[in-house]
Amino acid sequence: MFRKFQFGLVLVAMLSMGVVAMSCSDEEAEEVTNTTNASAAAKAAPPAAKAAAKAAAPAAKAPKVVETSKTTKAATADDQAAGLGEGDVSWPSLSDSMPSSFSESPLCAAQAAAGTIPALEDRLPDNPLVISPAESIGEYGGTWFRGFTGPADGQNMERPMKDHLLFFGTNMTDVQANIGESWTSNADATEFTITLRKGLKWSDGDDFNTDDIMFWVDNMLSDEEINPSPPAWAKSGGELLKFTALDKETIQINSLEPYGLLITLIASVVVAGPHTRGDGGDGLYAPSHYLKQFHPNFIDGGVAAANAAAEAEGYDNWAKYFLFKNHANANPDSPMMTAWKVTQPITSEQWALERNCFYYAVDTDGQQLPYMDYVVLDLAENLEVLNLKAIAGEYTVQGRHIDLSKLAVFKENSDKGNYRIQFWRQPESGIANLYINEDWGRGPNGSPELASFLTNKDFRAALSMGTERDEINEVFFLGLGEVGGLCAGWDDPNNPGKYIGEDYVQFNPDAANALLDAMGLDKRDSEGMRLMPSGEKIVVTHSVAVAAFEDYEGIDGMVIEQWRQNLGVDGKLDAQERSLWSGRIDTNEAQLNSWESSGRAGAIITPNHLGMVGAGGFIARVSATDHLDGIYADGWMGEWQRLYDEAVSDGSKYAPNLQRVVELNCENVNPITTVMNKPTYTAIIKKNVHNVPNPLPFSYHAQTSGNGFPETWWLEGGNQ
Amino acid sequence: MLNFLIRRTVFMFVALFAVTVISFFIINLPKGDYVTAYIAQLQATGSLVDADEASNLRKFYGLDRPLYIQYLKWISQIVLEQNLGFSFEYNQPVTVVIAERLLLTIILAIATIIFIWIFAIPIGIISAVKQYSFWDYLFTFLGFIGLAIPDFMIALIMMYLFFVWFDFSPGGLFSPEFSQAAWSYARVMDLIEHMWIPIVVLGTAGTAQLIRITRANLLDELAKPYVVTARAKGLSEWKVIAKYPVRIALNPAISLTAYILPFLISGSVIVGVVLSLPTVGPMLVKALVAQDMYLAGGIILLVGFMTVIGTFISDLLLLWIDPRIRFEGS
Repeated sequence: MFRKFQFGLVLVAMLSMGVVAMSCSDEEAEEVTNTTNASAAAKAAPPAAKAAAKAAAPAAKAPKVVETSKTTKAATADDQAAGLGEGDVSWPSLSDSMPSSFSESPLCAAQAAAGTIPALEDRLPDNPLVISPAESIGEYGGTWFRGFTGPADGQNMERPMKDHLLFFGTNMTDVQANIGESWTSNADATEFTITLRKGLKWSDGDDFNTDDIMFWVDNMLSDEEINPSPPAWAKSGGELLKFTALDKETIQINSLEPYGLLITLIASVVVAGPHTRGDGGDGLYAPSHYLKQFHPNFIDGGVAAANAAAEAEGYDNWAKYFLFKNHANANPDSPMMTAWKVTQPITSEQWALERNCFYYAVDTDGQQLPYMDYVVLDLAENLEVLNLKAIAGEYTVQGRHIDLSKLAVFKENSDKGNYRIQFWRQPESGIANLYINEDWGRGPNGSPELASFLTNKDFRAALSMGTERDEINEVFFLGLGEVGGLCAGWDDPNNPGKYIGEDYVQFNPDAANALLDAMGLDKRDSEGMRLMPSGEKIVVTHSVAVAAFEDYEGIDGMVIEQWRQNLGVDGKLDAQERSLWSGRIDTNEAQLNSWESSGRAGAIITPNHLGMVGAGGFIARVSATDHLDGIYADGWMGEWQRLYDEAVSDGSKYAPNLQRVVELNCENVNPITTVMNKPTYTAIIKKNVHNVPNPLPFSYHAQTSGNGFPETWWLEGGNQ
Repeated sequence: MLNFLIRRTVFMFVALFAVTVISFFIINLPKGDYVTAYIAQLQATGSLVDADEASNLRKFYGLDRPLYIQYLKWISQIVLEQNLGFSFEYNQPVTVVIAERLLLTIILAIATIIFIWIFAIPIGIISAVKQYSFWDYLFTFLGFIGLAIPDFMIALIMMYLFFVWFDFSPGGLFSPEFSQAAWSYARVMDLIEHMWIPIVVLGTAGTAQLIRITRANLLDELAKPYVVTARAKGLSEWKVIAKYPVRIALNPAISLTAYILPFLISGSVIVGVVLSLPTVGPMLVKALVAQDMYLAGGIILLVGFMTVIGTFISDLLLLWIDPRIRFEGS
């Protein structure tokens, strides 16, 4: 009779194993593996973007890093010429002219009339941020319905609601005013000031000023419990940046070494604000008036009392409790600076937000933003359900989690669901780049002979020219990607009319074979596969992660077959579960890794794909580690590292060096790109929604859709 | 008898202990831990984490200690403080995170069992009494379909049909306006309105199984001499069938209930994900993916607990109903 009981036990064991196994192959795993909020997005945003050349090109022309005061930018003729999308370019911009009077939504007006909040003029700062919407001045009202996938999906609303001190324009490269209204930098980029708007308020009505920044610096950034590892951006020359409040509105930041990139980083997701980074103790400022009651520096009894209070709530120590309290997504009591404020936490089945009547931005008519009153996100336990709801037209605007491969179904139902489809692309992003590990020869299983070919630019060029990109694009991406190189749109000065590396991305087996013959790979075995001079067959091993964003196993399998047929270069597929796969990069065992690269505009802000610095690991992990110790690699990688260092310290070099480093990647054919610029987000937008920019270029660093200014989006005729 | 109960109880605790060990170590089998995942996030944003910082983070989360110490700390908290630990991802205690979901999981499981009884037993009786009739063939056919199709498949098909026919996307257990509301009469009604789809999906296989079992048992009983005698004595047909053979045929149905319980809970993990139900299933999958080990461990432990308790109850019921088992035990 114990059989049954044993059976139950076995079943539980099977259940747990089954689910573990499932978790390894679940695509959604991607998102959650990186747990905290921001990461989810970094990963959730598979590469891509058509808008070719394009959004990065204006960047090169408009270095805004060392600059004083507000920048304003509408879509320029340049952007339009760059063909950023179909139809007319319509982008929002900041306006310098202050409206003569201000007005507010009925929702806030009712609260003000009831006396629960002050009158509008006491809620707005002296100089509100004035945003000129993309198409039209909007009308108040309605709810923004969306779907989300759980507490790891914080980026879902962190992206649209940026609370960064400074933020990007829609083109993702111009730094603009936001909470801060102006900024300065000294000539050698070691001293910066940011001036906040006067009279800013938190969503609970309390004053926002430099006290909130200094609270964060003194009690969070420098606190070992909260920040055992201070974020890398907050250090310069190995020391923490020095923050000084000059007055209630002006903060001064000093760095040990030149740090021209700092302003750009502050505008980007790397620094961001407490809504995005607060749960990790970062975010550059924090609601000091609210958080003091949980911090041992401010309560009687110090650490012991703080710990006791935390334990009473089920937390191990005060720091964990404090970080929970500073995580506005999960704790609606935490005051916010964003357009909407959380009313129901992200840990519930319905994550809800309501307009922040203290928001500091207005439209050009003086109407306080946002236009939409509420944001309601329904929990979808899996992406199929979320996509089904999107197909049914239940979401107002949703790009995140929408599955491009269901495009046909989306199109078929767009009239029934009353929505239109807009692609948000990440300019010059790779979907499945083939990164050749130039340090492989220095690794545990590196063989000098094969390594000599991997580090040979001509070998990589030959592989690149032996790749049939159109076939990959059709088979894996419905033909929606592009087959150009990373440098598309940038004229090669030595080769007018072409861009650097253009020849290498064309299918040209004759030229490729000639190159291979010339480098000593001219002997072949009985199957026609090329042999190295030692007589050993040359075999390139592709290291791919299974169940990642893209079907890398399938794509690389096709590439291997193409190389065998077109070039006689044999290949092998080494498919591993994601964490094992990334382990092989760490131990420098992988020869060739297949992975995305985010848009080239982020090559320096987030250098982990194309670079060989910091956390950069695909092209040369060992060299990246050496670089931390001040050792530069030889050849083009060393040049890449020097240009990177120069851009970080000297803001004026940022834009030119950003282009130059990517050109180095193109010149040296590493990575070998396959298909580029697949739409990153397939956005489902109700037909009565106005002011969504066209096109909306996508990036992680500029937190798309945040760079589309969703506070200006409005619903004609309310929710339909 | 008493001997048996004691032995059975001791084994129950051994089983529970084994569940905690297995679940804890299985969760830790994949390479890396929560900090690995967290570092991957920092790297994704271009920040760099050196070895010192990583070890600080591990210390912060208590992941630097050997696995068995982590296990002992976890298990002693559970036993001494009824504290299931801390969810890294939710940044909240596990008990807070799963409380409502666990309640809904149990409600769903019990409702499904009731559904199975209500449909399976009468249909099983009809099938047996009217053997080889049209209805018998029909229910047999439907029953085999119900047994053969995996429940997640039924869930997907139902979702699609509902969308195509009724323009309604199922998913979840509540309408939006009730999902966060406090419990009230209206919310219960809303739950009942939404709950029948997952109940049908989860209950189909169990219903089919129980129909077959009831039918087979009843057929055995109906052929026995006492039934013939009862008929010969002129008892009404209804009384002949309902009073004795059905009662005996129901014995397996009762023990089957406990045996179905783990199926319902394990099945509800996948169905819960497919239908987007706010039960513990989808949360378990996500916790495992994120290597949120105490949350995953807590859920597996509770599910295991329910399974072990369920089998224990079924053994007791059998003991009570069937003297043969009682005597074998002592």
